[in-house]
Amino acid sequence: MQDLAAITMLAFAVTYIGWRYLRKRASGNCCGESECPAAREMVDRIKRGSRT
Amino acid sequence: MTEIPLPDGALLRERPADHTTLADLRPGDSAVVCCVRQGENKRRRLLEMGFVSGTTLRFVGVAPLGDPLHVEVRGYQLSLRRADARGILVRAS
Amino acid sequence: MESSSAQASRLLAVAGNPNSGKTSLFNRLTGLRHRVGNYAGVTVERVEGTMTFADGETRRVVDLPGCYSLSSNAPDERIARDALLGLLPDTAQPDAVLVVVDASNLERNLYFATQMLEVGVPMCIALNMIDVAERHGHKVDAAALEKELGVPVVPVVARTGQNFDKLRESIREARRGQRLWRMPAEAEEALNDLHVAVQACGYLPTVSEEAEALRRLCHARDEDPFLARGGDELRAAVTQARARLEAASIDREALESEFRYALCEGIVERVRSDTGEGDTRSAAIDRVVTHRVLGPIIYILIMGLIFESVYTWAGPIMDGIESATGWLGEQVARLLGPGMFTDLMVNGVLAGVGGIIIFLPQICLLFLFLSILEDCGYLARAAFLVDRVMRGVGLHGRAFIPLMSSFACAIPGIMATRSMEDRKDRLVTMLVAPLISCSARLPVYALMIAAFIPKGYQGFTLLSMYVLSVVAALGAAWVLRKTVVKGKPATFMMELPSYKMPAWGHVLRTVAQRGGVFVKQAGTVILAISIILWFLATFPRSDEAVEAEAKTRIEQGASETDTANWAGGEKIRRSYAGRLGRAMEPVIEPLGFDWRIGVGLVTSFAAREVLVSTMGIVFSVGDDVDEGSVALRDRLRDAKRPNGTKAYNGLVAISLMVFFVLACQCMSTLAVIKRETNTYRWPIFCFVYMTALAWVGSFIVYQGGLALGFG
Repeated sequence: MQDLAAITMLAFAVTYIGWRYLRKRASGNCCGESECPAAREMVDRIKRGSRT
Repeated sequence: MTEIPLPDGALLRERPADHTTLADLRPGDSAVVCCVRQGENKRRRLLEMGFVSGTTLRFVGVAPLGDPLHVEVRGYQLSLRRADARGILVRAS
Repeated sequence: MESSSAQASRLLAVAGNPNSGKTSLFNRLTGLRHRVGNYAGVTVERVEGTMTFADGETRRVVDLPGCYSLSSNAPDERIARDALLGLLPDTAQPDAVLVVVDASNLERNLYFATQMLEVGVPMCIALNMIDVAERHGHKVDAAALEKELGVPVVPVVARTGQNFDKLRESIREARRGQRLWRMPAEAEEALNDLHVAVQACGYLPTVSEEAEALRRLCHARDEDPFLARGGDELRAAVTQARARLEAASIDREALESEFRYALCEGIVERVRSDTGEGDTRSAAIDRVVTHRVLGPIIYILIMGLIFESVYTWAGPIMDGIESATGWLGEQVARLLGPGMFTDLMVNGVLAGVGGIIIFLPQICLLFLFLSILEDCGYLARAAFLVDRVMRGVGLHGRAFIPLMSSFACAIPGIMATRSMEDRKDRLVTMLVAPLISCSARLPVYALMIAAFIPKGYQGFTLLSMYVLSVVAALGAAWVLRKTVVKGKPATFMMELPSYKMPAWGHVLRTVAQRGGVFVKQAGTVILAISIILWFLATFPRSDEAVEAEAKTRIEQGASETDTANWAGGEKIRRSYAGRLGRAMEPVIEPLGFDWRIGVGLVTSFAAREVLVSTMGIVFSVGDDVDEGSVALRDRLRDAKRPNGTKAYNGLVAISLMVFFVLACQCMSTLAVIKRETNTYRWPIFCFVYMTALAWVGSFIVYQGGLALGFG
C-alpha cells in the first residue's frame, strides 16, 4: 500500500517535470509561465529608471 | 541667430581662450552655457537635455574617481561624463 | 481608421519623460490589468492595458517608452515616435495621447510636451508630481498652463491617485495642439518648402507632417529610413532647405532646441510662482551621498547594514519554520506508520521542500531593503558612483540596468541589453551578467553561512559573496574586452531623480510577489524534483548488505553510534544518486567537496537552489524516520567522511559558495544567450569560461586556505 502510494507520487513527479519542460519550450520562459515575472519587474524598473 | 558649431578648431565668434568648459568648474560654481561642441548625436542630446546657449547651470560635484560629474541644470540633477562635459563651453555668471 | 466596432478599440497612448511618474500613472489608470509584450520585430517592451471611464466605457491604453525628445535616435525613443506617428506595424496612430508632465521639472518636460503638441494627435496633459513641486517651493497654475498650451491640463499626484476622476474626464476632451513658436523668416520658408515635399510623399499622417518636416530639417541623417522612403526628391528637398538655413547663418542642429527652450522658459515664467519655501533636502543629501570620500563609505555601510539585518531579523523566523517542519515530520511519521511512502514524505518531500522554504524570510527581507533603496532614489546615486569603474573595465553605462536586474535573475538582464546600440557592448554585458549573484544562489549562500560561519560574521560573509560576484563580473568584462571582444566605451548621461519616500504599497507588493514566486516554485518544481531525487537516493536498496557489514564492524570494535551514522551514509552512497556523486569525486575533491556535494552540484543544474533541497534529502535518507528532527545545518556540521573525520568546515563552505558565485549552472540563461546572439558559439563559450573560472576559484580558495592553515 505504502509502496504503491510512493510509486504513484514518483509517476506524478516525473510527469509534472516533463510537462513543465514542454511548457518551457513552448513559452520561451525559463519558468514555463506565460510571462516572466522577473522580466516584468525589469521592465518596470526601466520605465521608472533613469537613463538617457 | 547663433553661431554655427565648428568641427575641429575653426573660428568661433568668441575666442576659445576666453572660455572654460563645464569640466573645468569646481563644486558649487554656477555658469552660463555658451555653446556645445560635440559630434552631432551627442550635441543634439545635450541640447535636448537643456544645455542651450544662455542656460544657467550649477556644478554640484564629482564622483570619487573624478568621473562622472553631477550637474544641476533647468531645475533637475544630471550625471554627465567628463569627456562630454569638456564639450560644453561656459562662462562665469 | 477607427473601426465601427466597440469603443474598446480606441487607443490611448501615454507618453512622457522618464521619471515623470508615467508608469505609476499608467498603472493607476489601468488598475494593474495590463500585459507586457514586445513591439513586433523590435526588442523594446510594450505595455498595454485597459482603462474604464466613469460611465463604464473602456479604452485600450498603451504605455510608450519614456522619451526626452521625439528627435532622438535612441532605440526606445524611436519606438515612441513611430508609435505616435502610426508607423509601427501593429499599432495604428493613437486616437488620443496623454502626456505626463513632471511639475517639479517643468522646463524639460515641457520641451517634450510642446513637441507632442505639434504631432497633431488629440492630447491631454497630466501635470504630475505637484506635491513634489510644492515641496521645492513652486506652485504651478494648471489653468494658466492650459491657456498657454491650448490643451486640457489636469494636476494629479499619480502616487496617491489624487484628482484621477478629473483626469479621466479630461482624456475625453483631448484637443489637437499646434506649434507655439515662430522662427526667423528664412527658417520658416525653408521649413515650408520641406513641408510641401513631405506632403508629396504621403506616408505620414497629415496632422504630423509639419512637425516631422521640422525634425528632419534639423536632424535627419543619410541613413534615416524616412529619407529612404521619400526617395531622391525628398533628399534633394532636405539638402536645399538646409542650404537656405546655412546661407542665413542659422545653426540647424541647435535650431529646434534653442527656440523650444526659449518657449518653455517663457511659459514656465508665466505659469509658475515661487512660494519661497524651497526644500533643499535632496541637494543636501546628495552633497553627502555623492561625496568623493563619504559616498563610497556610506554605500558600503548601507549595504553592510542591510545584509546584517537580513540575518538578525530572519533568524527567529527561520528557527520557527524549522521547528514547524520537524514537528510536521514527526506527526506524519506517527500517522502513517513505517513504510516507503512515509519515508518519501518525511525524508524526501519535507526534507527537500522544507529545506528551501526556510529561506523565505531572508529572501523577502533582502528584497524589501533593496526595493526601498531603489524606490527612494538612492540606487541611481549608486549607479553614478559606479559608472567610472564600469567604464574603466569596458562596460557601457547602459549596462547598469541589465546588470542590476541580474541580481534577481540574469535572464531579463540579458534581454535588457537590447537597449544597447553597440553589438560588442551588448555581447560583453551578456557574457558577464550570469556572474552577478542571482536570487537562486541566495539559499545556497544562506545554508552554508548558517551552518559554518560564526554568528558575528554572517552578514559580512553574505555581503562578500555579492561583492565577489560584482568584482568577478567587472574583472571578466575587463579581460573579455582585451581579448575576445575588443572594444571601446561609449557615451552616457543619467538623470538623478530627487529623493522621495518609497511608495510602500509598491514596495510591499514587489516583496509579496517575489516571495510568492519563491513559494510557488518550491511547492511545484522543487517538490517534484525532491520526489525524484529521493528515489534516486534510496534505490537501489542495499539495506541488507549494509546491515551485514555494520554488524561486522561492530564486532571488530567500532562504536554503535559511529557505525549507525556510517550505515546511513553508506546506503545512499550505493544508490543511483550516490554513484553519480562518487563518479564526480576525483574532479571535485581538490575543491574540498565530497560525493554528497557532488550530487548537489549535478542537481543544481536544474535550478541552483535545488542544492539545498538535495542536501536536505541526502542527509535525511538513511536516517530512522522517528529520530526526531535535526536541522540540516547541524547535520552538515556533523557530517563525517568514511574515515570518521569531519567532512565539511568553514573553508569547504566558502569554497562551495565561491563555486556557486562563479559557475554557470543555469541552462535557461545559456538558452537565452543563444537566442539573443543567434549562435551556439557564445553560450558554449560562456559555459566553458565560467565553469573553468569556478573550478579554479574554488581550488585557489580551498587549497590556499589549507596552505594557510584554515583546514
